[in-house]
Amino acid sequence: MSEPIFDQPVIDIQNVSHSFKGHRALQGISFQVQPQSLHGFVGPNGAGKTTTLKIICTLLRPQSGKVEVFGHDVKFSVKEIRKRIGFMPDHFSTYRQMTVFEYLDFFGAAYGLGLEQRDQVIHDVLTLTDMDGRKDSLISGLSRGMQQRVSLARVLVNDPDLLLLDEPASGLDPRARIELMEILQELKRMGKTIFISSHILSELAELCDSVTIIDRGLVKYSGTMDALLTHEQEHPCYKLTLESEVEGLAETLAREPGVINVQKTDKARELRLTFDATITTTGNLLSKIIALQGAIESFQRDKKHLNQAFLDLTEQGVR
Amino acid sequence: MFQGTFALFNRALSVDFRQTRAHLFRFLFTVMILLCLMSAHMASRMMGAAGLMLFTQIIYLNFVFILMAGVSFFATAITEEKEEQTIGLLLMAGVNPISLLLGKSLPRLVSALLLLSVQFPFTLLAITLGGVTFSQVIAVYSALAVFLFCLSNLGLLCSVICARSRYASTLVVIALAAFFWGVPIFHWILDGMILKKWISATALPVTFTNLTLEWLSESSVLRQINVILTSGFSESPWGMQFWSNLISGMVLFLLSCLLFNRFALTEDSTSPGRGIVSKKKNPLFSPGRSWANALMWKDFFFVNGGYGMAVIKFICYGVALFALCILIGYTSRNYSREEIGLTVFWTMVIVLLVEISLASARVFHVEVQWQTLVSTSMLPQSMAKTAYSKVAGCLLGIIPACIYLFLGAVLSIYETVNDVVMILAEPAFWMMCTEILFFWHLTALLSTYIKWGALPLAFILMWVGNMFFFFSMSLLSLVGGANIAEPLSIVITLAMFVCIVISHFLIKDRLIQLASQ
Repeated sequence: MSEPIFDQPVIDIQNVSHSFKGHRALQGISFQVQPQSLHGFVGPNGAGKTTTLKIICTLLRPQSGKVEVFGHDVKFSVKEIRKRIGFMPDHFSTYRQMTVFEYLDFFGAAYGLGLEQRDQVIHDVLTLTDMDGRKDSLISGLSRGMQQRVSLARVLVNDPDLLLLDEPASGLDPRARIELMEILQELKRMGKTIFISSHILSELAELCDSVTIIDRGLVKYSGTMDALLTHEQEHPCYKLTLESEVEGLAETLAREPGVINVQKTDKARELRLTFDATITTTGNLLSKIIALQGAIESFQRDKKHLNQAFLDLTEQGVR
Repeated sequence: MFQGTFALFNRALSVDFRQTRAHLFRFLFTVMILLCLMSAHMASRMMGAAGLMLFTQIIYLNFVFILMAGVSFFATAITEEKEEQTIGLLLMAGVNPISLLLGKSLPRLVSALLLLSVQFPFTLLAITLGGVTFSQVIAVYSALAVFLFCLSNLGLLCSVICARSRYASTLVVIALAAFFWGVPIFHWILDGMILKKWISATALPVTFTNLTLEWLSESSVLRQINVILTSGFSESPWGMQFWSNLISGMVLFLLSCLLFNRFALTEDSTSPGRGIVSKKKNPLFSPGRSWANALMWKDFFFVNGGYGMAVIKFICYGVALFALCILIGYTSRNYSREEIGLTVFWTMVIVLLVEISLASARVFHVEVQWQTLVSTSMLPQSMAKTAYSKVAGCLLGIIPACIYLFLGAVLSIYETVNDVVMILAEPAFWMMCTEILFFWHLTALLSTYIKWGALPLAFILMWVGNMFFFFSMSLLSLVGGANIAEPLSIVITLAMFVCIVISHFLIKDRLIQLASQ
């Protein structure tokens, strides 16, 4: 991996707008992606995700605003940026008449790698994507999941610092999706920055450190995943799970100072507590529960599900 | 039963109505007729029977348009659905194969027949101008209409059989070449063999073959047009050609219906094939490891067939040239080494022209067709370099033809040098070279805009351009004397050269645009 940068964002988008035939696909969006993070990019259909990705990967020139990748302007440093990024489009952009090895060898050579270097790189990416045994298979004969892996392997041939993945999990079966996510986590551990556009919100929630939500060409949220999932919660809400049900616990806790609401969930042993953090603390509440003979199985912050956050932030209707 | 046919028919006509290029095409055709009319008017001052001249021009124009339509328009009727993977959906929607075939081929046939019918009033002018009768007009249009019907069904059959539009178009070209050239050549060979008494003219197989060939040549629309256009034509328009073409068209349609289920749902259309390029390690047929110029390697092997195809071409050209030289040697009293060289040289010039034309239609189209331009354009190099590397890869495919070209030049070195020195001084030679170069560039550019038929469309455009040029030339010659021809051709050459340079930028920009879509 070449010249890692830790002191500036990998992607810096400032007030970018882009239109197609009078339709404003992006309306002055701004956000940043930090190095070595896995950044989710979420939005409904027609929100401007693919346009943004194509601008970042230098396939489209922004009509206004500024986009920097590794500190390079996408308008003027196309080659420098392309050397350090790997873009996987939302459709199979593979030469399906080639074998897996020929395809990776072709891209290795196109990136200027020598024969020995190519052998090593192809071996590494095939191992990483678990495609070792399929290197002599024709791409056209592979399943969709396998073809997606080949695309990912191709993206990794030039050892990019930044991976831009447009809907990589779409159309994959659950197993292929889980395996793909595992590969992405492995890549993140290897120090790659991954910018992933996806509709599979639940998987993004588990995978991503940060997220940008875009809707109708406008950024609705950009920040850490934790902050998003607790976004707009005025008072902290915790979920308490007991080992066994305790009679009258909910009523007793509701009378405690600072407790705003105690709500029983569908499960008998589970309560949802909302309290004013300026009056009481989690420590106080836990002490009280223990004093009331409650055997605690778990006590954790009740995060809103990403789906809910997504629905809250985006408007209804398909564009 | 025919609800599907009507739905497809309605959709095709609506699409045709909305498409600007369809109207442009008709406009182009009208301009051509107008040019023919003006040229006939000018000719009428110098010669008689101007009407016959006008009519002949229009009819041959129609013939060329019908051939082009057969190769592109009709040959893609079903393959375009195969490539879009929509055949299955149409069948699932309850459209039966016959309805589907009718729905796909009828709108095209109707569009082409409309193009023939709208010019009918213009051709009546030919009668006024003199030299042609009404019955000749009716007979020629009947002959063309029935040929169109036959060709549309030939295109349909090829489209049903072949997995991709390119193969279907190639098959139509082969069938047409076999019919228009193969039949006379075979007839000529057979006559030669009988004359030399190698075979007996009375033998049953020979008699049968002779009769078949006779029937085939009488079925030719070209022969029929020539017969009709002779003075004093008084035969019925519903002759042998009419009925044979009509019946052949019906048989071809029937075959399309019978073979539809066998070929239509093929998966081959959904991904590009490897052709003769082997997966196994083989020094001749395997692509081996990628070269330093990876794009050149890819296009040489996966678009042009690689070493294996080069060897096959080398052998085929060699055999064809050998046969041609033997044939010419047999028919002429004195066939020297120099003449052999010239035969090889000029034959290979034609082969090269065809090969490069085909390559120019494919070089960028394959990337667009298989949606691979995105990953190719993400390479850290300019789109111009990517495009030139691809062109270089395709040009490697013409090496076998170049070898024979060189061989021909060496065999007739004195004549070739003499010829070359002579033609280099001619502005018309430079104009022709520039025009050919421009044609290749135009084909490559058009192939990035249209799904199929870039080569025929470029050919038609060039043909129209040439007609316009010759017409302007004759008009200017009348006004400004004969001296105007040379300066005009130099100006046109320079203009085309500028257009070639511009087309490089246009192709680059178009590829960038396609990659970002």
